[in-house]
Amino acid sequence: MTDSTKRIIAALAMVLCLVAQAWGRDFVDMAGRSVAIPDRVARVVTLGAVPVINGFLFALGRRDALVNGLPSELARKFQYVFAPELAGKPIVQGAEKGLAVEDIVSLKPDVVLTMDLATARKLGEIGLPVVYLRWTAPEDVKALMALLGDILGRSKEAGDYAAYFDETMTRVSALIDPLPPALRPRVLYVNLRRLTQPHRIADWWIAKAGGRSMTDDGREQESLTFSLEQMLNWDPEVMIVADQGEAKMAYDDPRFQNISAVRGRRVHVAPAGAHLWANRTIEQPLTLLWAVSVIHPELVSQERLKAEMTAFYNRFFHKSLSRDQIDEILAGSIGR
Amino acid sequence: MKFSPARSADRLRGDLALAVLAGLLVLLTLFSLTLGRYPVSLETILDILTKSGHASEAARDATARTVVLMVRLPRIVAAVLIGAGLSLSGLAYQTIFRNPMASPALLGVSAGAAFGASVALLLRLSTLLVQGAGFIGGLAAVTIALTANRAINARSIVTLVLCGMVVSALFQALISIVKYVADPVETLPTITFWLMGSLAKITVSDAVVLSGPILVCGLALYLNRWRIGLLALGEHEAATMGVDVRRMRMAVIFLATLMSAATVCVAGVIGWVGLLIPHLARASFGMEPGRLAISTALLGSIFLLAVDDLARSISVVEVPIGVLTALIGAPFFLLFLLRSRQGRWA
Repeated sequence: MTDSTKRIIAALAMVLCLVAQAWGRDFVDMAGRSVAIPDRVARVVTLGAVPVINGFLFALGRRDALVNGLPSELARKFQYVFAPELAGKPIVQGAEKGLAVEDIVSLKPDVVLTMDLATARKLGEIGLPVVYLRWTAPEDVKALMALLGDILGRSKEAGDYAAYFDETMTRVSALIDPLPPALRPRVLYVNLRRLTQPHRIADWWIAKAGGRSMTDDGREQESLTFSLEQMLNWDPEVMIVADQGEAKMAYDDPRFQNISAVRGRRVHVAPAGAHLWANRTIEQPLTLLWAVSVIHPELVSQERLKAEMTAFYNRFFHKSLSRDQIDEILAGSIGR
Repeated sequence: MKFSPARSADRLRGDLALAVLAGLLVLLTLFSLTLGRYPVSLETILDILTKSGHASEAARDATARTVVLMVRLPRIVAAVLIGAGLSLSGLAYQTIFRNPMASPALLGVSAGAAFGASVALLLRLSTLLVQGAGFIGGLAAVTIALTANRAINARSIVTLVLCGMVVSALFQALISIVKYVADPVETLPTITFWLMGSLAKITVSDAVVLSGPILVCGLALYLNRWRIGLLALGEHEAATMGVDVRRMRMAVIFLATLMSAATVCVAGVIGWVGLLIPHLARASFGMEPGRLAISTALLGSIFLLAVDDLARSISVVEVPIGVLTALIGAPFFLLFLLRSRQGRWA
């Protein structure tokens, strides 16, 4: 072997090493797709349910990696409180899930995260490293965080979160399990404008928090639409709505006046932090505690809930929130 | 005029048939009041409707009162008004354009009104402004269709329908733009579902707002039924009989468009009623203007109320009524055309 041949082989080996370092590992995402991702992930694009996915990165301490902004219709104030730098970032998705593919490519992402399988396949076909994240069953969030922790080099944080999730479940179960069925009120999470229960996960946290969810019919699809008469027939004792406008609507509309929850002034607005707590969000353990505090106020006090929130955002989001900010999250969205 | 026993018997038969139709509408209304997810017996319903609130036994069940008076009754009233309004406006268009294919949907009025109203919804304007915008959109659509038809100077009945279809396509495209820029979380689903046509969200105030234009315009069309009937004979014939053709035609277009737009603003686009029902009424009750107008309104009300009953009871999740009227109306109309003889309107 001549010297020049040796030099060429050495150079090739170096290039291969660099390439291997850059394209570190193959990951299998939650749809079983294999995706090559660099060892060091510095640029992440989040698509679809942007605030939900951003929440995962906040909890893993990797908000610095986000390179795209929030579409205006999905923007929530506390996303900017937790990650102020999001305000100036480019928005890469529009109405009706329209994606600005060229803008996404030009952001040169190390990884693209989405909870929509069609998006993952479409962008995967043009060579983007897209990871599909599935959160169908409530506990999927732990596997999801483990995968993300692995990709983003934050496995310890992902493990911490899973432990906190389990520990909160245990605490809540200890409070709720002794309750007999007669003490579990009828609860309805509802979008009053469309008469829809938007997310199946609400059936889960309502049951865990000691209520009987009126929409828990074992369905496969995410949302459930029902008639006004059906709602009157259910006569929920506790109602949970997505924003303050809907709560006002519940109290003002004469058609709702005979519903037990309205008569008993038990219409509650779901808190809104990184995302709406009633839907899928990394803040789900807090959702559970909050739900207990409104369904069984004698079991979890507001003060205890607020202390838990402060500790959660400190521990996982590395953000110290003021009392006013905690109150603002609990008051929920002001509506559109 | 000579007394003719045969004609008198015909008239009696016609009046009797109208009375039967009116009775059918009352029965269907009562039946519709019993339909729904909340169980209320007919006895309780009659009690709620006939006795004053606190005295009656039924009044103790406040939820049943809410269901009957605030949920079912406004919806039934709206279905009756919309059915009558769409059918009467279809009849008016068909008569003045002397065109059996004219209807609010085919002339582009529904699409125009839907565009106007969806812009107002996008801008989150009040119900009254949504109605106003819908009316302006509907009027703009019918004006464009008529102007185009006149410019082409064609006498074929197909040309006006084609112009209407072109205008309809134009406004559909504009609606797509509105949908594209709408907030996909809240406004877009609202506009999309509303465009499919539904009576699910009708409130007492919706029914009240709707009743104004339908009753006033319907009455105005009925009072002018003979003059409108003369227009069907042709412009020249109507003019020689003392009708101000231009003014009358404008007035009829205005009234029919206002009625159609009012229905679109409250319940979205409900097609086929305005086309199908006037033909059915002509085939069953003849061409005498008074009887034709009343039978058209009654048949329209019965048809839409029955379809709405279907829409809210065939599955747990409501089927949009506009989808059902198209599914029922299109094949029915085709059958109707196949069975009708050439040269006749029906």
